[in-house]
Parts: sequence; C-alpha cells; structure tokens
Amino acid sequence: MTPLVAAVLGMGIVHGKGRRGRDLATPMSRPLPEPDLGDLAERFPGGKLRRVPRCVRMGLLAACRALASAGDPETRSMGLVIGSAHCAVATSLDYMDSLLDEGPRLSSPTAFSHSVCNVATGLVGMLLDIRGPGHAVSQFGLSFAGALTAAATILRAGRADRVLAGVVEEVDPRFVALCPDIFGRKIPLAEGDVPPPGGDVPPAEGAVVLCLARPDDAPSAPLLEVRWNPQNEDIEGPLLRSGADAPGPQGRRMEAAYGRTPMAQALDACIALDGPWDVPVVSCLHVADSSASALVLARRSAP
Amino acid sequence: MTGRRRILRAMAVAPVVTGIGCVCALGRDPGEALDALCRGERPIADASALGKEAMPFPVFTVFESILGETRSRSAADTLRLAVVAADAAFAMARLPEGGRRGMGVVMGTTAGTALHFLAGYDAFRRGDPGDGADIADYFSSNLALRLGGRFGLGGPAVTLSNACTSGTDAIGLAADMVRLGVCDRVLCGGADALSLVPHSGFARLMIADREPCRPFDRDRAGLNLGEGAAVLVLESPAAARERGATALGFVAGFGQAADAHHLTAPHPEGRGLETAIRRAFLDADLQMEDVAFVNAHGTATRENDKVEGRTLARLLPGVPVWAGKGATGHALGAAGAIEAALTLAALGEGRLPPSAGFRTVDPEIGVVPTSGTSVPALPCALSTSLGFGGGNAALLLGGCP
Repeated sequence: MTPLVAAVLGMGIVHGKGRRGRDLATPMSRPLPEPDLGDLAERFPGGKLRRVPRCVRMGLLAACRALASAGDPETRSMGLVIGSAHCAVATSLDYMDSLLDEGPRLSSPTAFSHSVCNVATGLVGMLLDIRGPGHAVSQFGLSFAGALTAAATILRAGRADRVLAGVVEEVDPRFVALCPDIFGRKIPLAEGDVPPPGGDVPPAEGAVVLCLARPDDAPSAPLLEVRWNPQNEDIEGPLLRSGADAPGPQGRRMEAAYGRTPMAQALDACIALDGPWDVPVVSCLHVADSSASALVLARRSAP
Repeated sequence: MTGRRRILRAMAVAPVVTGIGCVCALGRDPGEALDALCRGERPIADASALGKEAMPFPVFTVFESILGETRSRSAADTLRLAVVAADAAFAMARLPEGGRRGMGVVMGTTAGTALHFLAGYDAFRRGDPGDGADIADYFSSNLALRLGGRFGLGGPAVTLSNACTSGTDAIGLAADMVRLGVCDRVLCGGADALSLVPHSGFARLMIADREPCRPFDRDRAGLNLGEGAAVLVLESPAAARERGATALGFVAGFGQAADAHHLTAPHPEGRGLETAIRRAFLDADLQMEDVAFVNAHGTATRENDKVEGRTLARLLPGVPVWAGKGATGHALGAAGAIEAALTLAALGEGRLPPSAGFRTVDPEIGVVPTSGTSVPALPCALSTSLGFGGGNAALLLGGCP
C-alpha cells in the first residue's frame, strides 16, 4: 500500500507555552498561560478580524507562522486542511444559548453561521486567499491524523503542491464544565513522564499548522507519516503517546507538560520534530475512546 | 476520439463502485428513490418531529416516514442513518471473507460532528444533572471512527465536516485514496439527521422557505432541510476485477476549489465552482460534452441557484440540469453523497427524473431544469456541491446501464 507521507516545510504553533516544539516539552508552570494572539493585529489591521472567532484566530496565527517558517510561499493555489476535535466550541454554545434564551425565532444568525464546523477552514482560507482544495476534519483526538491523511492524499494526487494542514482546539469553560468525564479524566503517567504541577492537568488550547509538500519535492525536509491502527512493530524510535488509557506500548505522555487537549498528537509531533532528541525517528501514537488509533512517525531527517 | 470512447477510457482506470446504500425521504434504496422522483413525489412534512418549538419551515424526514423509528434528537441519529446505508452498501458489494481488512472509510457530515446537544446543554444550564444522553451520543457517534469499528475496517478513517460539500468531498477524497493505492477499498459517503439547531439557524439566516422549495425557479425563496445517508463501496479496478465484482458505476473525476470570498455566500461569478468543475474534467480526462446531465446542488436559495445556474449555463450550455432537492430536501453533509447515489441510479437505469418544485424560468439564471422523465444520452454525469465556508466540489460519475 502507498504510505501517507508529507514533507514538513514549515511549522506554526500557537500555545501558551511558546511557539517552538521544544517549548512544549518543558515542565509546566501554573497557571498555564493563554496563547498570545497579539501578532495577528499587525498582520490583519482594521476590521479584518471583526467577528472572527477565537478558534479561527488561533488557526490563522498558526497558519501565518507556518507560512513564515516555510519562506512565505504563494498561497492562492495551496490546499488547506484543518482538523478539530470539537470545532467552533464557543460559537456553537453561543448559538445554543441564543436558542434556549430567545427561542428559535430570535436566535442569533451570526452565532449560527460562525458555528459551522468548517468555519476555520473557510475564514483562514478567505483571509490568506487560499483557493485550492480544502477540508475540515473532525474526529476528536484523531483529527490531526485525519488532517494529515487528507493533506498527504491531496499532495500525492497532485491537487496542490503545498498544503497547510493542522488542528485547532479552543477551551471554553462551559464545555469543560459540561463534559467532566472528558476533561476530568485521569491521565496515566509512567516513569519518565513530566509530573503535573498541583496534581491535575489543566485544559490547554491552541493550534498547530504545518506547511506540507510532497516528499520528492523537498528531499531534505523532515517527514510525517501516518499509519492507521498500527501494530507494535510499526513503532520506531521513542514513543510519545496520548489519548485513551488502553493496552499496548505506553511510551511517554506529555500532557502534563502542555496541558489536556485533543490536539495532543499534533503537539507531540511538534515536540518530535523540534524537541531534544538525538534519534532520527520519533513515534506519536494516539488511541481514541472508540479504540481506533493512528501513529504519526516523525522522521527528523529524510532516510 | 468520440465522447463515448473517452468515457470508456476514463472508466477503465477509475475507482469502481461495487456497493451503494442510500436512504432519504424518497426511499430506502436508490432505485426506490428514483421511482419516486420519476413519479414526481415530494414527501414534505412539517417540522414537528424536531420539537414543538420548531419554526414552521417544512422538512423531508426519514426516521418517521421511511424507517418508522423514533429519532433520538442527538448525533446518534446521524450515525444510525449512516449504518443503514453502509449495511446496504456492503450487502450489495458482497465482499469476500477478509475483504474489509485494511479498508479505509471517509464520511462527510455536519450534524455528526456538531455541538447540537440542546437537551443536555439546557439541563446543564439549569444545574440539572439530567441523563446527558445526547452529550454522550455526541462523543460516541463519530462517523468514520464508528463505522470503521463496527465493520472491522482497519484502514485510514477520516470524518469530513465541510458543510454542504461534505458528502461530495468524502467520495472525492476516497476515490483519490483508491487511485493512489493508499487502500484497495474505501467506504465513503455522507450522513446527516435533521436537528432543531440548523433548522432554526437556516431560518434565521433567511435562506429557508416556508413553502415546498423551488430550485432554480424565479420565485424560489430558500431551502427545505432534509436528512439521510448514502454510502458507496469503492474499489480499485484491479481489486474489483480480481474478485469478479459487479460494477455499479465509477468515480471518474473529482475537482475541488475554495472561493476565498465569503463565509456564507458563493462567489458572485462562481469562481470556485468553475475551477472545481474544470478540475473534475481534467482529472477524468473528459470533455464538457461528455456528460449526459448535471445533478446540480440547487438548494433553492436566491444566491446559490443564481451563481450555480449561471456557471453551469456558461460551462455546459445545453446540458440538462437536474435538481433533486425539491423532493429530498437539503440533507447538508449527506446531500452530495445522496445525489451521487441517485446520479448513479439514474445512469444505471437510464432514467433522468424531473426537478421537483420548478415552475417558472428565472431569466437571471438561464437554466431550465428537467421537467419530465427522459433518457440520459451518455453514461456519464456531473454532480456539483457548494457550501458554507466557500467550498465547491464536483464529481464526474460513470454509470453501468
């Protein structure tokens, strides 16, 4: 079978701990800072960001950083794939608030139109003038693996030479309180894991966007490869693991360093590509509650 | 080279459709739905199934009218529709023992990934613990992940939520995965159940009609929501040939492009749609005159139909346009997949149905959709989708008469 592989030309991270993969792996200090989105105002002055939801702003900033680190390639013909576990959480809850408070006849049309799951893909595409193929992927903690799968397929099919692909996740206190089983779940730690300060792991928000190309188009760039429902023998190098507490190779869990978030696999991939490793390959495994799993192999230099 | 020869050449290398499951307001399978379409049926219902507070905008239901089941008013409804369609698709494909191993799954939806758990959220706001059933359903109803587990598929799993292009995009992405050899087989399509949240949202955006909708009509006033699911089993030509599978159709080409213009309105000149259509023809190595008809998105909103109709009239002059949403409703993330399934049925049975709801030509558009049942002149058709977020998608489908 043809592998799902893409070369990483640029990386954009938006997270309270910093904008580099290595920043994410350092021990957390409490409280976990919110991502700083101040850079956006300079790039998009005036009213361009009016009504743009916070989740989209995080994705937009990560996309801008990915483009900058890839040398600011032309965007018009690019592809765009943005994954999210729960999509536009705040505007979705805003719309339900308006429905419940005011009734259907007076519910907010603006909140509704900004709550659609592809709002990040649509608005980031508009603001960066990206007109190529695009997808919004939503499958909880496997959204990053899904986005990489779609992006690698677009590239290999020749539908675009460059694809911006990643995930965005926002934290809304209403959603956190609504889903205690998800946000209060104990994260199993193994020897070598970063211990959480204060004993619990706070929720974290942010975005990761990568500028991707076909491997043969960027032979010296690091690679990401996705393997679905992997076997133990698929794992190469050190293992970073996230998601459900399930049997199988445990590896290290980094949530205590960067926070509780369904974009853990994307953050792990950034740590794998930019962290303190002296190995060529790092494996990032995510196991979903549904028992589906995906392995992202981060090859720091092309073999 | 003649059109027919080009089509045969394109189909020889295209991913093969070996199973089709489709449930919509017109029936439990594509043939039943096509019969109803050709009889001019429009099974429209009031929106009371969505709750007593629902605004009086009619809908096209499946749970009450076709399945005879009670809806749970949660994301589980969308998964139930997808399972009905997937079961039918697998039954038709008759895969051999072990044939699902390593199979991919790509599904499109809107309601299946959206935070629409109104009952649970309402209880939470009132400090009532409630049973949280609809919240739990949201977390256990992701289409690709759950279908992959239920049917023992082990390949890539992708749930797309590209608004109204989701179903078309899912089939297109799946076809690419088959063509590239990522997997020999992919289960793909779309599903969406009706919900009070989008029903109210579209009404408040002033793009829903209080009457049965009228795609491409001069007096159209908006969409009617529908629900349903359609699922295809796609196989590589080699895999299908090796097991002697019966081909039901082909995904000959796919094109996709973004408007990068507006969140909820199409580009006024149909910029993205034109690009998507042109890319689909390039992908299939076919020419515009090679299609027998277009199954148009045709939502019956003022803007969609004007932009889509003008684009089709410009690119494909004289090619018949069929708009089915006057009989199925707009099933959002399932719409493109349902329309692909109905297009394959129309090509396979050699019957192009009328466009329900159309009465009066709109001189602003210049498209006169089908008004009676006719015979497609060629075994190939185009199906188009446009969506919120500025997405545009086009599928070129081949039939097996």
